[in-house]
Amino acid sequence: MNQAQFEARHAAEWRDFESWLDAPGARKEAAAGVNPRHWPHRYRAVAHHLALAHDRAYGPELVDRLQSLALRGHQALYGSRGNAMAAVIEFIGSGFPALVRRESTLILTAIALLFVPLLGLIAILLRWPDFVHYLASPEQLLQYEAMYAPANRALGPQHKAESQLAMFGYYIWNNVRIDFQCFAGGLLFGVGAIFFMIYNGLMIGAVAGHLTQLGYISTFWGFVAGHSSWELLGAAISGAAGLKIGWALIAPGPHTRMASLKIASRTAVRLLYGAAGMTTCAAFIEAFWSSLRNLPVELKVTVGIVFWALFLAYFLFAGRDRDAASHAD
Amino acid sequence: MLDTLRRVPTPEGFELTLRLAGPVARALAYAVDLVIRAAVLLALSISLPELVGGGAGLLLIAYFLLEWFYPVAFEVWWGGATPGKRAFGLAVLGDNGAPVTFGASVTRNLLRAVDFLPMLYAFGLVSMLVARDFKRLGDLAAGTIVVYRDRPGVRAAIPAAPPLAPAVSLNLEERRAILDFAERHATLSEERADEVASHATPLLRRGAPPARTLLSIANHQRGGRPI
Amino acid sequence: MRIEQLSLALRARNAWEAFDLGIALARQTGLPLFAGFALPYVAFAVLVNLALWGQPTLAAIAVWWFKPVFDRIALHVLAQAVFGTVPNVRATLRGLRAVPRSGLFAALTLERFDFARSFHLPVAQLEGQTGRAGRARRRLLDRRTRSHAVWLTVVVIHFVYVLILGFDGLLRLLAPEGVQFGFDLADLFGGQDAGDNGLLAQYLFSAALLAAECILEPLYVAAGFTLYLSRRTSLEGWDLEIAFRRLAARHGAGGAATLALLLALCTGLAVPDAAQAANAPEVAQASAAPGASADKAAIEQILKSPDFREYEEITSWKRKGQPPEDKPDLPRPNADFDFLAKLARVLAELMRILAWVAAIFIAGWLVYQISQRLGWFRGVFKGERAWRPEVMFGMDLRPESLPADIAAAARERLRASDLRGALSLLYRGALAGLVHERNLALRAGDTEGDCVRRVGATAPAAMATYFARLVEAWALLAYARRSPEPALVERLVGEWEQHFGGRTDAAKAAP
Repeated sequence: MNQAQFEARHAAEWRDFESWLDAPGARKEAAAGVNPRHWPHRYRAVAHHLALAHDRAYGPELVDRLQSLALRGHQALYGSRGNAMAAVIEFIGSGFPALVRRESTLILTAIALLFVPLLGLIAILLRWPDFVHYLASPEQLLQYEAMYAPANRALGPQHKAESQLAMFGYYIWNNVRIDFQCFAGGLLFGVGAIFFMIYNGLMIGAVAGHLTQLGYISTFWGFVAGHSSWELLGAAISGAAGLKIGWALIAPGPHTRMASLKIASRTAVRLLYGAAGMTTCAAFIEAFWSSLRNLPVELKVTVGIVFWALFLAYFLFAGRDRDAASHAD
Repeated sequence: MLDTLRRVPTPEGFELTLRLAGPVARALAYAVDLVIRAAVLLALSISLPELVGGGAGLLLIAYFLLEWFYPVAFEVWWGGATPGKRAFGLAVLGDNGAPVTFGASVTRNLLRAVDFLPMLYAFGLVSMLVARDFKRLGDLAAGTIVVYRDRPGVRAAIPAAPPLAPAVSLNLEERRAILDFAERHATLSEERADEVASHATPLLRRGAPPARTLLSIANHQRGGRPI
Repeated sequence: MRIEQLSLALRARNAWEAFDLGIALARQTGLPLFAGFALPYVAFAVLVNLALWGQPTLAAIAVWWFKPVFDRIALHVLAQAVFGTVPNVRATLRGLRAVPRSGLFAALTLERFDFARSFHLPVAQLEGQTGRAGRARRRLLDRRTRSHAVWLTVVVIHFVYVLILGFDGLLRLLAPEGVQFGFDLADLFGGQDAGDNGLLAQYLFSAALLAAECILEPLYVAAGFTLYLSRRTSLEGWDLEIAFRRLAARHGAGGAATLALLLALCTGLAVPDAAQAANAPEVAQASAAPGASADKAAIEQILKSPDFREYEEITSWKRKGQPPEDKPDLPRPNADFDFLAKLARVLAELMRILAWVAAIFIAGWLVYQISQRLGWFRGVFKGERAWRPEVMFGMDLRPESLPADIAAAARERLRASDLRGALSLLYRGALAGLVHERNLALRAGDTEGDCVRRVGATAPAAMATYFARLVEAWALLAYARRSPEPALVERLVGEWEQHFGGRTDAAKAAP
């Protein structure tokens, strides 16, 4: 068959397909609805014609036209619509808690690294209040005291959207910084991650212990209760991601250090996604809920405890059925 | 041979050739989008208080939407390109050359926050310079690439010459080269055109000027119809 | 220029694509380019700063002003790299004298503020066209291209500042709470008021600027260079010329090369690059078997891709210092001080080795301690328990997931004419039995064939034959969708107890 015969035989088909491609989105879908297999068939036929034209060395103009038709067909037919956020929802609903359970050793280590210094320091400061001067300068302490002094209540509620938004930005930056430190420190064979987790645990513990011992309970604990679970667990999980990377460098197993790093970072990045989500939520709660000053402290602490309980349940149970399903035959 | 292409085989047996876009064009496209977004926000900040009054909250919402969903909306429903990308002929595609999906677009745009770190998209820039296929971190996570969109090829006119059948049978590449030569003949100087054509030795005939000969062959390829 | 030897793919590109090609080229050239630019440039910057001590801003301006000198080194490396020969760092630095200097004076005076600097650089440096000729040449190249080159400069300047501020931001990100890192822009422009702090900030800033330029300037030069190449490609039809050369080679133009030469002479055409014509026979010869050589190139290309690369880490001790072949080049030290110098060198070497040994010892001890303490980490990593897999071919092999009496359960499925279910159960049971009772070493990536081979190597012959038959029936069903004779399945079920019967008792006892 020569080129002219070939073109003559299939020209109508191509024009048909081309006009479908030219149709705007909605009409295209409508046309596809008549017989959903029709256009994919046409597309495959065009791809076949393209291969033939290539093989028989037909003119470049014909080949280019078919190529362009095939490309546009590929674009039109392979664009997947729908099930848009399925992956994200799957991750939040079961993937992330399942991942946390799978990496529970690392997560528990990170939690210990963060919380042991934190809680230990609170205990120490309640017993020996002066110990705080080993950790923070008097100016810093004054600053924190001013922030959470019960007298602040008289300054009135500060829940204007603008200032809250500004604080949201600040909190995001602060949380991101802590998460980033805990994670990136992992690249120094995990030493940096360990350092930053202990360091942040100590700093938070120092402030918390000091203010508690001063009796600023309603302002301080009322403020931090709501977002504490989100922020601290987020930091611990990003620290765990850092540890994962550090461990991959210390004990690469049968891989090179680089390859081991690549493998570990796949998991670490997924942990980070979760941590980033939690951290963002923490900043949001901190800016828009924790800063409300005219709510009773009991309510705020209760909400905080409920969040902790929910997280415990989430990480222990969410997505269990999926775990089981994936193991079944 | 060093090039900036990504070839993706399709199940239907042909190959997509994607021309990857790097940091310079993408930065400029981003700048265009930034200007557009700023202009929209400015217009809203002037008009909203007039229309509905006390628009600070609405303005914040508008800002939020512009920041996070302006790119997503355009990438998903406007052929993979924001206005800025369109201005530079760019488009976002999936790694397999298919149009970007909603989920992938959301992922790559939410992760702009990571690319922005520590300041002004420094991580994104370094990632684009270092990573395969000029991907920023969001692209790596979402499995997307940014490419130059192919324009539907309309072949240019070629200078008329008496058609002449080639002395040897030509394959596709060679026929394409001859057509290209004819189309670009006008942009080459006469001497250079003859010099270039003189390399196609099997097609030339003794005594005839090489460029004219190739033009004749090109006319023959177009079916003797001078366009 | 011998364009047929370029290692860049020539095709019609738009200017933005040309920049991307430049980045790809710089990336491929790698260390020789970046180190070749950075080492002299940083050395120069240090000298200038020492000379202008206390005036970091002035020094930074002076260093910046002389940047075009160092651009030439970058272009010198790149011009070799596009022909596939990348000199190593040492050769680059040794060859600094060979870098062309034509038009350098103009580049540092009149043309310092040329916004298409990297695009014009090849005209002066590679074509050697300066003065009036250079201006004319640049005007020709500029047509429809200059604006892109200017945009490149503008974008790269912004990139420099993105990297500087990113560097500052990184310091701030990594600073522990309450520690002030980074340079304050207020300090920077506060001038004298800021005092020492301001001076420190200015030095920090010029260091960051220097670092950013060391990364971006080679890329800038490379992008300008590829834009230049791309412009000449479209201007002079290089891609067409290469396509026609290939055409001639494919049709094995024996006498054709001479014909080209004849033509060029007969028609009395101006051939600017006579070498090209003279080269033609060589080209024809070199590509006598174009198919074979192209295939070979393609194979090499594929083998170079990361999928085919194999990494092996081999650690060995090697004495550092001058490699032996460089010894003759070393100037003989003065005999009088020979002894002292030697002693100092030996001492220094000794200290260095001691420091290394100590560092390695400490690191090793730390790793040992950590791995001892965190012994319970071991289970976390999959690779270490791969020899007793829980899942093979997507099937759960844990004993507790299987029914207690497998043969009975299989018979039941058989009765319900569920051939697939019965076979699957037998196969799973057999694998689980082999793994857990007979300690058969399987790996998660093993195929069915591997399993049969391993069983054949360790298990009694009767059992191995039975297992092979079972696997064959299963594979046919699972992969080829060919249902086995029910009689065969029945026989397999019947014989099951005989070979794997022990397992059922164990399973009953185990939970």
